[in-house]
Amino acid sequence: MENDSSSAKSANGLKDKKILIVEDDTFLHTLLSAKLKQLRDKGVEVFPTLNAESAYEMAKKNKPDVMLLDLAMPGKHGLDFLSELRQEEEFKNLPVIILSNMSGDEDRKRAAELGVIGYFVKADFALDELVEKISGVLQGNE
Amino acid sequence: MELSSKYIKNEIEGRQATGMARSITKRVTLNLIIGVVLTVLTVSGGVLWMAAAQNQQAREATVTMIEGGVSATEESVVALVNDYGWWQDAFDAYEVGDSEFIEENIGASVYDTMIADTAAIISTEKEVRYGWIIEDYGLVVDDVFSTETVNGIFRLAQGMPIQSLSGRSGYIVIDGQVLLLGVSQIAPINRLETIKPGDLPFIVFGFVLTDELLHNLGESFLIDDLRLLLGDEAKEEQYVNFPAIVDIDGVMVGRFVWTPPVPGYTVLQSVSLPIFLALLVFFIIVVSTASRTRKIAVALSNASQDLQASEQELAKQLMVVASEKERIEAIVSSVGEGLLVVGPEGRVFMSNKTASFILGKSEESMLGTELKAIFGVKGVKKLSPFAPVLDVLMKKQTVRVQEASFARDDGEMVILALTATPVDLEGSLIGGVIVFHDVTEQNLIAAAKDQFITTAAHQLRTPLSGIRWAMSLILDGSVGEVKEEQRELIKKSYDSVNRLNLLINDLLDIDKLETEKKTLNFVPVDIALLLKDILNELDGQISQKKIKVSFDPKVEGIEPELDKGSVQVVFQNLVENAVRYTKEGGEVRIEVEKEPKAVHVSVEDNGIGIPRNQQKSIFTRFFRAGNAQLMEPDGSGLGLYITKQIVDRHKGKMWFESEEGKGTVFHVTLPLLSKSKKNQKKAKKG
Repeated sequence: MENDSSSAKSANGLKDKKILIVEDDTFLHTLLSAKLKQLRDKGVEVFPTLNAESAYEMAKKNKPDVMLLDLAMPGKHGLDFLSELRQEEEFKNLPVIILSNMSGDEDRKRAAELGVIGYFVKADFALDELVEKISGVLQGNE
Repeated sequence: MELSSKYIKNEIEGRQATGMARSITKRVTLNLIIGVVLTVLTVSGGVLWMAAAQNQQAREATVTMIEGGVSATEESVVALVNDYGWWQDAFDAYEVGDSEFIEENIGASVYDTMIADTAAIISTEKEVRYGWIIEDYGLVVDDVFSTETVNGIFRLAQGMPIQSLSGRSGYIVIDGQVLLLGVSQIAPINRLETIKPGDLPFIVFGFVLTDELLHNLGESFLIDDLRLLLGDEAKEEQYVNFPAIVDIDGVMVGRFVWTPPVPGYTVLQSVSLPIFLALLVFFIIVVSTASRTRKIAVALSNASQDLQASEQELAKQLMVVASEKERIEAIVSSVGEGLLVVGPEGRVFMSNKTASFILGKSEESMLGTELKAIFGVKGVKKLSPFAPVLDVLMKKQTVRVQEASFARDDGEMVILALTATPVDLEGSLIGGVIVFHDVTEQNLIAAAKDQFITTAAHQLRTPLSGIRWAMSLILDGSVGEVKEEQRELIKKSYDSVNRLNLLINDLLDIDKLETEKKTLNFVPVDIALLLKDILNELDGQISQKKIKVSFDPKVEGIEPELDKGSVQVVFQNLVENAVRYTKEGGEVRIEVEKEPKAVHVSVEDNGIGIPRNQQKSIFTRFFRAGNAQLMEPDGSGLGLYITKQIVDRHKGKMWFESEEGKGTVFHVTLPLLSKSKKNQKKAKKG
């Protein structure tokens, strides 16, 4: 039954969806990867990157459907990267979910201005909530 | 110091003025008195001298006249007796001894005509042949023509020529009466050549110098008291100038005396009254002038004293004011804050050293200059906090600016915190006092601290996140099955990590509240929606505890202007607490009501409640009620403290009703006014 419903969902649009993850902490990558396995099982592709530069390349190459973006990263700040990305037509409407431990008002405000659809403070949320959010986005519910 | 010396100078001048006024009074009075005395003395002296001189002159003239009168009298007596002497018939009758003829023609003549008081014919043998006396004077012939008298007559007549009009006169004194004797010789006119003078008898007429006679004689010289003075009395010094009477023996027997004429004194007497009156009038004028002068001088002196007193008082007040001013200036100068005082027209009239130091401007360059001119900074945005300050001040409002950038002339930017207070004197605005200090460094430190806390929180959170996620993956089976025992341990660890995380969040919130310098960012907030979101987020816990939630926003779409982030914290804390401290199957009721000036949110539960004796501490930092700790060991005790702080900063109210074991209701009201006011203002501007 469970498998059936999964395949039904996948049929509903998760298949071949692409998630771009921009996160400098490899341990978190590992954990996210483990958590997102349930989505991968449904045909979602996950592209992990460790910084803005490689994220940009990956984005250009793979055209993600949603991006999980960390803020405090070596090199370029997540929001600076997003700001640049938004300049490009193909990424103007890319759904972006902030996944950061930076929870300051300034960051939240700027993120909102750049049109992010979610702001998750890593230490606060339950991973299930994130999966739910991503699923919603990928299925076009959000 | 200058003032005190000026004060002393004034004092001295004042005293000098008073002294001068007194001195003038004295001098004028003295001058007037001297004037009066000199005038009186001069007039009196002059008049008296004139009178005395006139009297002396009159006396001398009178003496001369009396002497002349006496002399004339003597001569007339001599002439009279000489008339008889030259009578031929009389000589003949004498020669023949015709007594009858002589009695009839000489004696009777004397008696009848009373041309003399006494008469006698004395022979050459010094025999008184005939003698007549008018008895009225009580004289007798023998006494009058005594031997001494006869001898005297002979001495008197010695060498007397026999010719017409020859005769001699002399005085004798008998019984205190003076007689003037005229002596001549009876001579035969027709045989004068043959007669020897020694053979001729003497004829003597005597006149008693009676008072009446003397009076008449005196009257002819305007003297009414001519009289004789005899004996030693006549020799007194005071009579020395009066004519002397020398008897026929050559002895001074007395003087003619009278009251010396005093025409000067008479004149003096007659003019004395007018002079006296004139002097009196003069004296009165002088006295009144002196008196008036004195009054004027006294008035001047008083005025001078008053002036002096006023000056002294003024000087004292000036000294007080000066010392007060010095004190104020010393205080103002010592104030560690920058200080500017402006007048009602917006010009700076006082500043202190700190102000100069902070603003990089000299005191001289600021004094008298318009505030706007000092702080009008060119070309940089939001740099003149003082200009709007002045506008607000003029509306008698106190202005506080927590951060205002200011560009110094040397190009350095400083951040100032300032308070401007209007100075109100009896209802009218007389200016304002602006106190400020440099918070540049403070801001840098605060920013650094904020940065540190943010970074620290981030650095703490990142590993926590990893641990948390990892545990979460283990617990939900994503990484394979674990034994129940292991699972329990990991569950507890997971809770601990969550607790740690909550603590970090609370600390971040507090830091935000306490160090946040900027004002709250007010945006319209849909309270009902906000609460719905919060309930959604807590859905997991609510379902897990099977808590029945009733949410009744009686008014939808209320959007007061609030700081959304912090208000979210308020309701999140309240709802979370309600869920947290309510037992499984309990109830949570949330209501939203619109009040005239506020939105009222209440969160009610039927949970454990707050013990009465701990209720007063519920909003204290790190405080947790005993029963709450027992039920939920996790918790920082900061949630309600933060909540209350946020409500206060919105000028809202927060309170609760609670009973242990029965439940708690928290009430929060947040003002609606700000929104409507702001809208009104916008509307007016539009």
